[in-house]
Amino acid sequence: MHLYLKNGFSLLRKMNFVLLGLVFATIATGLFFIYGTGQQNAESFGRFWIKQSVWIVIGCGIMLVLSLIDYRHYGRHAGVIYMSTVLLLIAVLMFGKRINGARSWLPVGPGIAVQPSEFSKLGLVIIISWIASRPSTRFRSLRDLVPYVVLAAIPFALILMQPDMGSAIVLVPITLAITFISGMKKRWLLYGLILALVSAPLVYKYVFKDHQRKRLHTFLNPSKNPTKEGWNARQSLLAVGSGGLTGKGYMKGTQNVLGFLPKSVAPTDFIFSVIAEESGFAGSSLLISAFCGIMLSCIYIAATARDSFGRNLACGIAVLLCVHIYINIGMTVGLAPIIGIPLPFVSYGGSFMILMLSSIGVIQSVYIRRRTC
Amino acid sequence: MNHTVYVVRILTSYVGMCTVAFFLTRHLYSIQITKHPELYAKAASKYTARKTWSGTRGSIFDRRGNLLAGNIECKNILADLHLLPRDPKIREEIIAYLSETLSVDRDILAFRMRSHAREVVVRNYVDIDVAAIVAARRIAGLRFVDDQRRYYPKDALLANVLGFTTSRNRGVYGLEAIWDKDLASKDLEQIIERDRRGRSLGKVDPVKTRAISGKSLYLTIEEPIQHYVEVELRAMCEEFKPKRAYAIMADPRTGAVMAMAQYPTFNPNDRRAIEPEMWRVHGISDVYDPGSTMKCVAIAGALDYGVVSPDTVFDCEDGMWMYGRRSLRDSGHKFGLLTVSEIVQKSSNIGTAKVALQLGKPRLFQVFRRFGFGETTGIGLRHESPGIFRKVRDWDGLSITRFPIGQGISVTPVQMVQAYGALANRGKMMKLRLVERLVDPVTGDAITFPPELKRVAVRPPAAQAIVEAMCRVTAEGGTALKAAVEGYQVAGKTGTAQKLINGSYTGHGKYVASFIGFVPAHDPAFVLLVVADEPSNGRYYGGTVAAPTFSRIADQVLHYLSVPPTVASGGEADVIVRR
Repeated sequence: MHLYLKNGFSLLRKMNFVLLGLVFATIATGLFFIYGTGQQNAESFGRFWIKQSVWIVIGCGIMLVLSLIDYRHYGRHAGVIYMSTVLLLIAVLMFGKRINGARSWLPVGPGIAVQPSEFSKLGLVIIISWIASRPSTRFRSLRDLVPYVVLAAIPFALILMQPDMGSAIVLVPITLAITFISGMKKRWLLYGLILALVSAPLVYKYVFKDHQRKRLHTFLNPSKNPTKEGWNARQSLLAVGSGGLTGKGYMKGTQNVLGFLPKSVAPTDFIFSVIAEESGFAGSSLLISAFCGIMLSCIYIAATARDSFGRNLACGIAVLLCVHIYINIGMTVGLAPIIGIPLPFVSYGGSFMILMLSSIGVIQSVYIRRRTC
Repeated sequence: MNHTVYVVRILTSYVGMCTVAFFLTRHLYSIQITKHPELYAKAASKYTARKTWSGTRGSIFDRRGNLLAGNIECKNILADLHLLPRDPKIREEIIAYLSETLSVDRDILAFRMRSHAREVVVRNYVDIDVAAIVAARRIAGLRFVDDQRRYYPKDALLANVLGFTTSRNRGVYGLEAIWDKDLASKDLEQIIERDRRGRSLGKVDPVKTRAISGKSLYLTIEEPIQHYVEVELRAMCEEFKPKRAYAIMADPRTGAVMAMAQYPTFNPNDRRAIEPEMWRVHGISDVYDPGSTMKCVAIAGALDYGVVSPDTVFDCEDGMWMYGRRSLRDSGHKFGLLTVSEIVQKSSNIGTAKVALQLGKPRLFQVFRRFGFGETTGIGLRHESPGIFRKVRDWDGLSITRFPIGQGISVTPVQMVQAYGALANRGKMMKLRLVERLVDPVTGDAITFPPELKRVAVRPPAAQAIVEAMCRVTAEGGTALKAAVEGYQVAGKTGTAQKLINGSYTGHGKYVASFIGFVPAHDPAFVLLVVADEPSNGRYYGGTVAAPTFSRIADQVLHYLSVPPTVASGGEADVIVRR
């Protein structure tokens, strides 16, 4: 490993700076608005931006280290990485703190807790990408899909047991996307879709817990729902809509400042509402453009990757980002149910920031070692 | 799989992601741009609230600052039906207790308590001490809300003129209604930003909330005088049982109304006992037959035109004179030759009619007009009547002999006071007024309403002459000895008019007895009219019914105003001490 570190600087110069620049731009935007949401009262929300800064610094360090390491090492140790994330998921079910009815947080120190479900997303991306990139991989019959289904099902089930529907559901499109670009038959996707449609009512009736059904109802009929989620969905829609073209101005978004959008969710899952309210359509579409740029960079990295493992990794991470972006923004504007998915690089949250920056580190590692022609 | 397939699949994924991004952006556009106005309004309605600051309604004072209408702190008692004990037995007891203590109808209260509303009114505007008694019972669910209620500390005093307000503190009658704009407190409405829990975030400027209290109204009325007048009027009513009675006192030099009383009246603090008939200010809206009190006006006009002099002699035909194929009588008396002064003193109908004939129709009409008959006085109260006074072309052949003796002409009490005020003030007729000044209680800014000369009704010599004649009315040989006031020379005139009922003046025994005069005669402190409409008890002469009341009121008011006596006590009437 020291061989890579020795000429680390020359490696770093080969990074994709467009991607890096866009990532830092969105991180800065997030920090700026997290600061903004916390300034109306003297409660702990006021210090969120400091905590977030600390997480960003730690995350950047991890990103640098991960980008210096040859990504093929991750592939070789994919099993270990995957197993450790699964173990963390089991640990959280045993020792986790129960917050808002879900056992998602694993305390690791005084006042610090992490969400293992976030790390399992990257763990799954790595192991699926690795297996799909093996030369022996074939997609001839449905039986060939079994390893992927099993690998995805284990963390999926463990996360569902917390229960954290949102994080679990993210694993599905990642797996689908990586197997798809690795050559999975297109009609299998169609089968999967049909299966999903058929099983949906059964899942609703026998798998979903009460609060999950409630969330679905909230999504389908937000104005009639008096629950916390219903309130948040309505207030968020009002926040986004009342922003208009240019917004109400920084720290002047009434929905956020006056507490209609609860302070506990404004910097986390609903940070996009705050940005949309205070900077308007101009700001929100600019942010979406930045995300499109990030995803394009990831796809570009995938296209220039040295091998299929690198390509799978980059694509998997691109899809990971896309799913988060779509569900999170969708949540704030009534296009998706409120399932607690944060906005990449922008939302407040340590574990998620670490995951995102780690993913960028991995993808940069792929880019640094790209095909040169 | 070859490389091209991979690239195609990668690009397919990317197109998928871009599609997602496109739909997100399109949705954002529809929310942030298309639906923006609607959603913005919806958001604004959630974080703004209107708060109303209501000030205090302006008070009404008499000329010297005695409070006539003010505000009193009170409590509105409300019941929270969710907190009130639910046990029907206990609730029944509570209803019984509340209905008795607060004098609310028990059935009505029970009905309200069955309501589905969260909170119902038990009773509004409850006195502080009564509310305290109820509060001491500590009944769960009762809520006491501070409020203010209009309060008239002198109860029935000047009640008709003051009028009253609605429960929402808007004037609906009397001065309260006319000056409502100035008296009313202006509600200050502020749009306040509030947070999710409804706490207001704006600060309120204390100066702004104070500046909205109503203005104070200072009347020309003097409370002690009003009190004397009301007491004496009530005494007269108890003795003679008239259907109605009124007394009005004014300062002839300024037109300031010093007292305005009527019977029946009401206590504005006790609304339930008020009947519509009592609200009306009879002194301005009722017309009555002035009877002989009109004679002074007609004769003053004749003197002013120089048609007659005080010493001109008329034959009074021994009390029975045919004119226009109708007889005119001097009731109960047979007068021979009388001078004009004696006609006034003895109140001869025939004599007055002859004087009027000398004056002629057009000039008589002009005289009445100049004295303000047929037009409202503009005293400043609603529903003032102009009286019943026909134009000269509508007069019939008898009019010229009947109008000067107060028949066929109807006047309002205030018109009469105004006209006699002119006689008392050397012919200068002042505009009657009730309001002295309007004061802003915060800034102290005042609008004053100064005395206003309406017109010169007669020239001073004529006024002088008629005053001399009127002085003899209350002296030996006059019709109203009972109107005399010890120590002062009184100028006045009685009036006893048969009421016109179903077109007939006689046979029904219904009269209007009145007395109007001013004291001291040559430098009057006031002019006072006392009218008893349909006195019963068998006596109906102005000299018997109204004159004694006039005398008693005048006596007290003269002492209250410290007017020096003009006649040596116990001395002869002709020993006049001029001030």
